[in-house]
Formats: sequence, C-alpha cells, structure tokens
Amino acid sequence: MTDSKDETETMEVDVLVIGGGTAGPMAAVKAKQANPALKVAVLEKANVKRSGAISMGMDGLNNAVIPGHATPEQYVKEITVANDGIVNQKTVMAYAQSSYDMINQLDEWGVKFEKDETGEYNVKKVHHMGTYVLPMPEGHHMKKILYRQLRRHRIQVINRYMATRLFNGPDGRIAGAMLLNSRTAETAVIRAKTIILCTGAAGRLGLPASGYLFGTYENPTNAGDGYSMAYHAGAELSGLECYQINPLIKDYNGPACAYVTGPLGGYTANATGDRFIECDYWSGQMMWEFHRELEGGKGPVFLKLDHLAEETVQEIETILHSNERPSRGRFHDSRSTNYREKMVEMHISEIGFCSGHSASGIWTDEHARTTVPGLYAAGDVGSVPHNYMLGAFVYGALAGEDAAAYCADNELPEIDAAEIARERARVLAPLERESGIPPHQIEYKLRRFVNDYLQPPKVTRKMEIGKERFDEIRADLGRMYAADPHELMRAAELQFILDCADMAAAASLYRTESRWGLYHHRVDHPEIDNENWFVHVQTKKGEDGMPVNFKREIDPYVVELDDEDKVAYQQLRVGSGQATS
Amino acid sequence: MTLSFDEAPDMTEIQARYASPDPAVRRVAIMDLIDAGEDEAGIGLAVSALSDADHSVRAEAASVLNEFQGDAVIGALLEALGDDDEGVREAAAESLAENKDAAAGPAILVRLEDEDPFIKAACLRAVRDLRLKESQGVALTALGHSDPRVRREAVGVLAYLRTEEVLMALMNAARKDADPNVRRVGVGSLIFSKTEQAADTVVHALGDDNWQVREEAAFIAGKVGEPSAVPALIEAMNDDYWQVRVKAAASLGMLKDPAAVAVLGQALSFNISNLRKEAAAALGEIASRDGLPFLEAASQDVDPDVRKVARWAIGRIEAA
Amino acid sequence: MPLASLSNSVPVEVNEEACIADKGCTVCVDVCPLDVLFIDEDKGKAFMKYDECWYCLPCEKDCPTNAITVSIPYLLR
Ligand SMILES: Cc1cc2nc3c(=O)[nH]c(=O)nc-3n(C[C@H](O)[C@H](O)[C@H](O)COP(=O)(O)OP(=O)(O)OC[C@H]3O[C@@H](n4cnc5c(N)ncnc54)[C@H](O)[C@@H]3O)c2cc1C
Ligand code: SF4
Ligand code: SF4
Repeated sequence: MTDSKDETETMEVDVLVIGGGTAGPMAAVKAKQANPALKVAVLEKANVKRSGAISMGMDGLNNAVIPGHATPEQYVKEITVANDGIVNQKTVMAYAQSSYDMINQLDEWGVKFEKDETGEYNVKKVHHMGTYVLPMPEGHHMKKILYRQLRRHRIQVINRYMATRLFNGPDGRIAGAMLLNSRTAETAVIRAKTIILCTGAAGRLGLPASGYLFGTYENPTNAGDGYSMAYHAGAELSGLECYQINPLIKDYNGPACAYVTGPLGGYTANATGDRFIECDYWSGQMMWEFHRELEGGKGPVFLKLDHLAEETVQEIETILHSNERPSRGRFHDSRSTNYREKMVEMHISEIGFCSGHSASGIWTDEHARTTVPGLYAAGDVGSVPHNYMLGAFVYGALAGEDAAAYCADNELPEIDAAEIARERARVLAPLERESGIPPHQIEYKLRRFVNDYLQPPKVTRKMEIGKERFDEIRADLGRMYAADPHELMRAAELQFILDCADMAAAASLYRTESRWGLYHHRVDHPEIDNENWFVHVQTKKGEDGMPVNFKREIDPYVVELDDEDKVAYQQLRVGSGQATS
Repeated sequence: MTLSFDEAPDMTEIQARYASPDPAVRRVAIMDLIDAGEDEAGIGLAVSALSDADHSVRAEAASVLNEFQGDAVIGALLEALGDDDEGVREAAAESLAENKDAAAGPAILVRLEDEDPFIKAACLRAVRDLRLKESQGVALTALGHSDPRVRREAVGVLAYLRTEEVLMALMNAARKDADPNVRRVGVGSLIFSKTEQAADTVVHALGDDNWQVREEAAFIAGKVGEPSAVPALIEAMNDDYWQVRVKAAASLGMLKDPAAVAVLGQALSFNISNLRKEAAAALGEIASRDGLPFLEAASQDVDPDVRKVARWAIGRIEAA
Repeated sequence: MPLASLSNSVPVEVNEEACIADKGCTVCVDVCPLDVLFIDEDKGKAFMKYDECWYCLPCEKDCPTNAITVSIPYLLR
C-alpha cells in the first residue's frame, strides 16, 4: 500500500467545502439551497458522520442571542469588552442578528434544545448582563442531523481525503485544492470556483501536560490545516497572538463545562472552595485570573459540585457523561473522583488557535470572505471572536450563500500544472524515502518547544529562541520518513503545525504590549498600550516564505460602548487589571 | 478512487446481502441504507426488515427509518411500537418522536387508541411537537390513565397546546397526581398562564412533599407573575433545600414586592454562595432602599460573584 | 536515520467474539476521526493500529454489537 498512484485525478465543482465538521455541512447545504444547480462538495479528512469538534454532540449553546433574553447590541458590547476592544464589530453583529434564525433552523431540523414544558426555549442565565446559554441535554444527535441534511440536499461527500494546499489562479483568485487520501496515499486535485475553509481550530499546537500528542482540548484531527493553507494561498490572518487557552479537567483535558454546571449551581473554586473569578465573560482576562489562582497559594483550581443535591449531581453526570466528552466518567472513575465527595482538580489547556473560544483566525468580513477572492473561512478557523458552535453554523451559512452568488459571476480559473506537480512531490516525499525521522517524533519535539518558548506568560528572548528551534525543525523536514499512508497524513499535518508555530511566534513578538489577560501576557511589555496597539495584528506570507506582520485599523464600531457600560464593566474588573499584576 | 458525483450505494448489492441467511449480514446491509438516497427501494427494504425474524435487524431498521420520510415510514414505525423486543420498540418510539411532519398526525392518533401503555405514551410523545388541535381530547383522557408514563406525556401534549381550556386539567395534575414527576411537569406547564388560579396552584405546589416539585414551583411563581404568590415565596425562603430557596429568591426579584426585602436580606448571610448571589440580585430588582444595608455588607462577600451582583444592585437602587 | 520499533499499550479493546467485521461491518473504522482503527482482513476483526486516540467514543457508541471498549490512554489516566 505504500505505492501511490502516478496520476493525479481531477474533479470540478462550483463550491468546495473543506472540512465537514460543524460549519462545513451548513455551508454546503446553504450554498445548495441558494442555487440547487451548483455542484457542491464537502471534503472531509475523517468521515462526516462523526467528524469535528461536535463529534459526539454538544452540551449547549454558549452564545444564543434570543429575543427577550438578550439583544444583538448587548451581545456585541459584551464581545467587544471581552476582547479588550479589538474586534470588527460588524462581523460580531452579523452573527448576533442571525443567531436566532439559525437556532430555529436547527430546531426544525430536529436538534433538541432545552425547552420548558410548553415548548419554549429554556434560556439560562449565567452572565449578568444578558442571558445567552441554551442547554442541549440531548445534544448527541447533532452530527446525525447534519448528515441527514447533506443526504437530503444531495451534496457530494468525499471522506478520508485531506486537503494539503490550495491553488490560486493566474489572477490570484482561488482555483482549487490538492487532496491526499489517508488510507491509500492517492492524490487528487479539485478545481473549484470557490472554496470554504471549515477546518476547525489549530488544536495540535501546544503539547498537553500529559505529553500525549492526541490528548488535546480540541479534536486533534484539526491540526491547524486551514490556517496554514490560507497562509500559503496568500490570505491575511488575524489575532494569532491571541491564543486559545481553556480551563479544563486536569490531565483528562476535557472542558470544565461551566455552562452545564453553572446553571445547576456548580462553580470554579480554589483550594478553600471559594469562587475567585472576577471577570464576567469567557476571555483572556478570565484565564489570567485562573492562571494566577492556579499558581498561587490558594491553588490549584477545582470544579466544585460537592455541595449539590444527589438529584442534581445525577443530572450533571447524565449530561456530562453522555454528550460532548462522554469518556469523562471513566476518567473520574480511574482516579476515584466522585463529584459528591471531592472537588475535581482543574488545569489550563495547551495553547492553540481558535476563534470559537478566543479570536485567532483567518481574517474574514461579515460575509465570511477572506482577502483572497473566492476563498471563504467559517467556524473556528475564521476570525470572528467567540463564535463557538452557533457561530460556526451562522458563518457557515453566510459563506455558503455568498459563495453561491460568487459562482454566478465567475469562471473556473486555470491551475498551473507545474504547481500541481510541485505540491504532489512535496506531499509524497516522506513516503518515498527509505528511512528517516518519523512524523510523530518531530511532532513531539516541535510541540514541546511550543510549550517551552511560546506559552504565556510570554518572554521576548524565549520566543526568539523558539523561532531558531523551529527553523532547525524546518530543516529536518527533508529527512522526514513516513512508513505508510497513515503516517503520511501525520507528516502533512506536522507541516501545518510548524507553520502555525512560526505564525504564533511572529505575531506574539510583533505586538509589543500586553492584552487579553493570559492570552497575550508579555512579561517584558506588561502594560496595555492603546495608543500604539489599539489595532488588529495581521499575518501574511512574506517574500521569503516566512510570516510578515502588519497593523490593521479597527473598523468604526457599529455599537458604541457608552460610558455607563464601560463603568459597569470596569466595576466588574476591580482589582484584576493585568497592568497591576 | 471515489471522486465522482454518483456514488450512492448500489441498491441491488444491498438487497443481495439482505437475502443472506445470516442475521448479522442482514443487519449490516440495513445499516448501509443510511448512505442510500431516499428512493422507494431503500424505504421498501427498511420497512420489510421491520418484520425480520431477528430482533437486532428489526431494531436497526427502526432506527434507519428515522432517515426516511413519508406515510409508509410512519405506518411501519407505528406498527413496530408493538414489537416483542424492547430495543425495537424504543428505536421506533425515538424515530417517531423526531418526526416533525404534521401529516403524520392522524395515523399516530389512531395508533394511540391502543391499550398498551408503552404505545400510548410513545404516540402522545410523537404528537406533542405537532401541536394538533385534535390531540387535545385524547390527551385529556390519557391524564386519567393508570400508568404515570402515559400521564406524563399527556401533560406534555396539553402544555404544548397552551390553551386556556386545558388549564384546569394541568392544574389538577400539578396538585393531585400521585406521581411526583407528573406533578413537577404539571407545575412547569403553568408557565404560560398569567392567571390567579395558576398562581394558587403554584402556591399549593410550594408545599409539596417532593423538593423538586417545590423547586419547580418556586421557579414558575415568578414567571406566572401574580403578586398573590409573594407570601408563600417568602415562606419558601425557609425551605429545607437551598435549591428551593434560590429559585424562590429569583421569583421574589421578579415580583418586585418590597415585603420580601427582609427575608432576602437575611439570605445574604446563608453559607451557600449561590443563594447569596440570587438574593443580592433580587434585592437589586426590587430596588428598595431598605435593601441597601444588606447589600453594603454583601459587597465585601468572600465570593466575587456575590460582590459583583451586590455592587450592581446598589447601583440600581441608587439610580432609582 | 535508522529506525527502531517501540510497543505501546492502546486504549481501544475489541471483543473479537462480538465483532462482526467479517459480516461486512466497518462502522468503527468509518467513524473514528483519527483513522486509527482497522480491520484485520485475516481474522475479520477490528483492531486499533495506531496509539493516537482522542477517547471521544464514536467507535464504542456506534458499534452495533457493543464490541468496543475504550479506556483513557495510559499517560492520562
Ligand atoms: C471539547 C469541546 C467542547 C465544546 N463545547 C462547546 C459548547 O458546549 N457549546 C458551544 O457552542 N461550543 C462548544 N465548543 C466549540 C464548538 O464545538 C466549535 O466552535 C465548533 O464546533 C467549530 O466548528 P468548525 O466547523 O469550525 O470545526 P469542526 O467542527 O472541528 O470541523 C472541522 C473539520 O475539518 C476537518 N478537517 C480538518 N483539516 C482538514 C483537511 N486538511 N482536509 C479535510 N478536512 C479537514 C476535520 O476532520 C473536522 O471534521 C466546544 C469545543 C470543544 C473542542
Ligand atoms: S463497529 Fe463493532 S462490529 Fe463493527 S467492525 Fe467495529 S468492532 Fe466490529
Ligand atoms: S475513542 Fe475516538 S479516537 Fe479513539 S478509537 Fe474511538 S473513535 Fe477513534
């Protein structure tokens, strides 16, 4: 099986969706609904039936903007404050305005949201300012429902092929993608008028504390593929210094599920069993407080449920051990942790890129367009902050609809045959070598360096050394050896991870201030500097193939923060400003 | 290589596998229908598999039928509710519960006449989301059924209809049903009614033996929004379960009666921080200056959430 | 560079008596996001080939005969 086909097959479509997790299926369905005559295909590295972050389902919506509970304006304000002002509000507003319609669409498709006895959505209050949490105690049907829609809309699904690079046409427009089969090492080219990247987070950037390569917070299939592919296609990326770091169950590396346990009375506590988080919204600031407590005298940090009633604990167990990350009960059993008796030890995750939880992504506007014509990005890989699952659906839909319209006005661009041949050779090289370094060894080393040199608190000199180490690893790529097609897939992923590491280092060094709490805490530039850095930091591929950074102005706000809001929020942040820490 | 636009699985190949004497092979063949388009042949095969001799094949058919639509599918699933095998029955019930097509209503209502409590409950659940006028009568009758599963689903059907006509029946369930789960759901169903009668029932439920019924009642009292519930809620602030007290505090905040200030103020010194937080928020909602001394103290609470809410509440009272 | 092999204990265990891969089932192999499960063609049974598991459980939940047990990978346990 180590022998791959000589020829490279070609197929032509109007809309190619790369990644069939959450945003992807929605993008495909909406493109097809917008124009049923279009050829729409979903390319998926795994199998659309169970792929992506929502593989086993989801516990709920964290950011539902439902009339009567929250307004789009209120939501935009919260997200603006949670991101220390660095947001393109128009994109957040586009999400907020479509969020309710999307919930109804999903409800109609059969997604089971929590409802009261009369069938109205049962929105839970977790935050003080607006109410955004809508649980899905039976959220395990999510992927089944998406697959049903793909079938009903007769969308072409291509499983077990990964995209490795995108191709541009002669005028720079997007023109297609190179594919690699993870079982046979066959390659193929898809020509497309539009491509929608829905490849999820960069989940394999940092190394989990356990040292297990695949014990990540994110679904480890999402290695950062889309970030790297967009970069090589010439697209602009944004906020890559604003890492994703999440609170989680120590070692298990699964989410702490504040949104599930919170409404039922559970909370994050320190060793004395007291709450300590001042900050209101999920943000780098919150992570900073978490980190400080973790390392402080009252640390570490715990999930406290041992004060709840037996019936409530049972309810929590049913939800947490059946949706989202169902192996969690097994983990607790092996450590004899019973929610009734012991608080659960927590920790923070390895670093990654993700706009679902923070703000790092491929730069897009409010139609999910990137800076490359014909190329779109939606979901965790896009740049709309705090988008989570519902945002992935909304932006998938926006991308699908806009891509359908784009197809009507544009022809299929040509792809340079020499470029295809070069890419094919690059991808297959590790399989053609007789011997060398296996991808998992290189990956381990790379990700350990990411932890050593890039993990916040960030230190300038350390990050510079990190870059040198990454250069050395780049030189090792010429000796990478894959024993079979499966390892070849890992080899391709490793190169995505390396690109992400370079981009993370470059963007972090560029922004010489501290912002977003722990996400970008620079020890040697500890102050926030609004005069020089109230801007987006963008990343692009430079002439020499390495990242270049530049500033992008913040678009005028569509919702001004009035003084009252600012004061209200400042009050909530008393004593927790990072500048004073 | 599978890069083409026509790769729906080959139906004749699946049918051939289904002809196997080995039930495991037949089962795998039925599983593969999930990738098939919605054509007649696929539906026909799945429907006929519902009468397979092997129960695991029948169960597989019941769940794969969830992927298909139409009268034949609904009819077959309704039939399968009476299967000898529990796995088959449950798979069929689940598939039916997910149906959103109102056209299936009449067939489900006919099947509902069956005496088997499992079938009755499953059919009630299946019509609930369809919100059919015609289901009101049967659901009212089903409220008198001896099996609590049937009564529970009947309450669901009536609550989804949200008509004032069924209010009496729902209040009855909330007050008198023998099963605490049905009582709890009954109380919960009153959320749509803003009447004094509903409030009376909620007050009654605040004295229920079961704490989860009381908790639901304490929660619903605020939503019903009738001031007559205030004294009972004030009393509920002494419930043995802090969970009930938390919900009572929230409802007192929604009803905004200054009479509750004292009991809420006292709650600010209970040892459960969730309760302190809710009590502080309720004092902010009521916005009476009498709450200020309690809130001043709470703004120094050990719990940051309590401090934050207390400060917010103080701000509100001072702005009022 | 020369290569050596190193064995790992893997988190997925398949009950070969229950597994019906020989009857045409490939469910677990299909649903694994990391593509680490394979069918042993000689035995007609599924097995875990690579120690790269997210302990996410679709393989176990979707297996029609409950043949699969996933444990937490040893390094995390
Ligand atoms: C453990 C966990 C818990 C969460 N809990 C919640 C919650 O409770 N509520 C909430 O709202 N959000 C939650 N989120 C966030 C939410 O799940 C994500 O924001 C959302 O699902 C992202 O969707 P996506 O489409 O961007 O990515 P995914 O759904 O991850 O899809 C990416 C897809 O791309 C495929 N892919 C990757 N690379 C390639 C390639 N090169 N070629 C082809 N295909 C490729 C992958 O296989 C995958 O299927 C959670 C996330 C995690 C990880
Ligand atoms: S899903 Fe179960 S029965 Fe099917 S191949 Fe895997 S282990 Fe065997
Ligand atoms: S638990 Fe998840 S990653 Fe592990 S083998 Fe099963 S499906 Fe694959």
